Amino acid sequence: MSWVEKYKPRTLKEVKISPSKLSQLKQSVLEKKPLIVHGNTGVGKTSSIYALANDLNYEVVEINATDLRNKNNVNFIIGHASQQKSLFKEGKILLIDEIDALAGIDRGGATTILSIMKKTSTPIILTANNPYNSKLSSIRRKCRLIEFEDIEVYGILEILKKILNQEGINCKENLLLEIAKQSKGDLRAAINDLQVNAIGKKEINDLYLSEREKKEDIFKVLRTIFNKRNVNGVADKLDVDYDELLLWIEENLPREYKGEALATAFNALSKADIFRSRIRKRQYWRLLVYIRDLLTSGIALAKPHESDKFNSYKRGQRILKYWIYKQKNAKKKEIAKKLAKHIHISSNKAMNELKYLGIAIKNNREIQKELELSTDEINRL
Amino acid sequence: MQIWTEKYRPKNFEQFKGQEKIAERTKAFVKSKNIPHMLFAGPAGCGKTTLALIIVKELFGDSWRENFMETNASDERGIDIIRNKVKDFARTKSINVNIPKIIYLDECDALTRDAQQALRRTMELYSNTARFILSCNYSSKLIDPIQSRCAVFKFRPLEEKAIREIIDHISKEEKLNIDETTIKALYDISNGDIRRVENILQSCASISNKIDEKLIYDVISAARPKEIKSVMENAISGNFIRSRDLLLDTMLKHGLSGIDVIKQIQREIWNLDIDDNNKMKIIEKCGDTEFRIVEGSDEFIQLESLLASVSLLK
Repeated sequence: MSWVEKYKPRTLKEVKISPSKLSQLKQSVLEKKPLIVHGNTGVGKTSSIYALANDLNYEVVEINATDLRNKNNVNFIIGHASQQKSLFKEGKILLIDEIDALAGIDRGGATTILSIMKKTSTPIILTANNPYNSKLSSIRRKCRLIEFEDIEVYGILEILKKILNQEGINCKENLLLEIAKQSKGDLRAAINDLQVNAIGKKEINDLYLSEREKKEDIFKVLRTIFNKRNVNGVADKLDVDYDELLLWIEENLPREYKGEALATAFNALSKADIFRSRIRKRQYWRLLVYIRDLLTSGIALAKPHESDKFNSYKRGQRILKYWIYKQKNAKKKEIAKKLAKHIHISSNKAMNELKYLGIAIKNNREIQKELELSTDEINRL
Repeated sequence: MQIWTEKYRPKNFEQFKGQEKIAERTKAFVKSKNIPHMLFAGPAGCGKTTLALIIVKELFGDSWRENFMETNASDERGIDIIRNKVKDFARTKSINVNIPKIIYLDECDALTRDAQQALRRTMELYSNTARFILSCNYSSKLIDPIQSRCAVFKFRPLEEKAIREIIDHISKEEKLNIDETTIKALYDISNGDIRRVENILQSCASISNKIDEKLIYDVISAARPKEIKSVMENAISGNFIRSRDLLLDTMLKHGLSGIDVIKQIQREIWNLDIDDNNKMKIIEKCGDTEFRIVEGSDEFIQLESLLASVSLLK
């Protein structure tokens, strides 16, 4: 499980935002006033709302940008949410997450939200990175605004310490401070960095940090690529690593493009990945220029029109998930290794064969003995 | 020996099923006590390792263990394995007999290029004391100088007849009750991979002696999770983000590779609720994606590209 999930605040008391802002948040919900919570990525907008709901014993009905594109879907969710009282909890909060991710794309989006506000008596909270987007103006007029500022370094440090404490992992304070500083107020990023560095260890002695000072560069490049059509040279001016750019594009693409444009853009990504592998196999680095062009112009020209969205972009979670999964499967890998030796195959293949032979191993004591499996390993099956 | 793939691994040329021509040729080599370097190329579970073991046992008799080394290149793929472990074994004379030792290098398409170059030198330098049997899925992944030093044998997936004989033999020994249609189903699932067949069979037998189609599908359901269908349905209804999130979670949870996923999507297509022309379009795109997974480096991006084009269909 990712630590971001595991250590989500359960109550507002654990949220590192100034108490006055939090009490405003609570007040708006109790008064059922529509509200926009805005602030940078990873400062705890969404988690505060969930924590508040937990404190009040409310239920959160969440709609995100993808649902809003589909009116029937919205009506279905809202219809139920607004007309029924919560069955098990004392109240409800309607959460529309990342509203600015939708405003640029979907012209009908704002109207849909306004009509939701009219229809329902449930408190509505929207979250946004930038609420001053012109397309949000009609909604903004109806809402109270609360800004969540970036979390200060020592606030982040405190949380990182608490997490390590609970995980039983040691780490020097200066290393933790480095993680906290690097995150620039993005708590989510800090926790992710911490987990990457802590996974499978009892003590952290050195750090591997994906450099977040490049984040702004990446954001600029992404904004140009996703909004403009002529993006020649955008990647040259800024110092951006293509592998990383590819992952950022991959993660955020489906929130920027849809339909034909999405498919065309993903085709460009797919081609870029093939060139990447060819470079690796043949060490023929000239092919890098094609990766650059596919990742910039290839993505930019996939959309029919230019636009002026001002979205914030998410860091992909995929690589982190691979890590976590690898840790989790370490035991299974041990079993596969033992099996591999016995039946003359590689441990990779054995891992795959376990899917078929696993049941027999689980049911057959003799096989377990023959493979010398520990009780721990048997339980893992 | 409790695991059937070992228990029922053929021990001599008479027991060996399928690949008749190859068996015949190698048997002649053994008889002449002169083995060339050999390259066994072919898919999984069609008898490459088994044949190598038979050759070694027939060649060296009781002293086969001392004169034989087996390494899997997928576990140890770097140049060091060739420079150290393989070289040390290859340079000394064989024990008790006057025949060169045998080194069996499995999955050698996983060797890096450097390691392959080192291997080629080793094959030349020590050919008086050692002979190599290399095995791989695709001979094209090996550098030409290695291929040219070997007698190349292309193994085919086992045919239905051979698989049927093996299943019959095992069910007799293990007192299994298995009918014709189930055997046919087992063969269809296996793609001619007898290791897969025996593993599935043993898992089934650990549940019940009476083995039917349903039991087989229950056993392999862990390897073919149902979520893949819902990944496709989400993609078709245009819900790309949900579709890709579900795909990633499913792949991680069940440890599926990109190729595993493509295979299953391709099987699932005919059960989807779309018109037949669109099904054909997905099949074409599947083939393209499978090719790109092999060529590319990040299989998930290739699968996402597939999902994005599927989400255009409706």
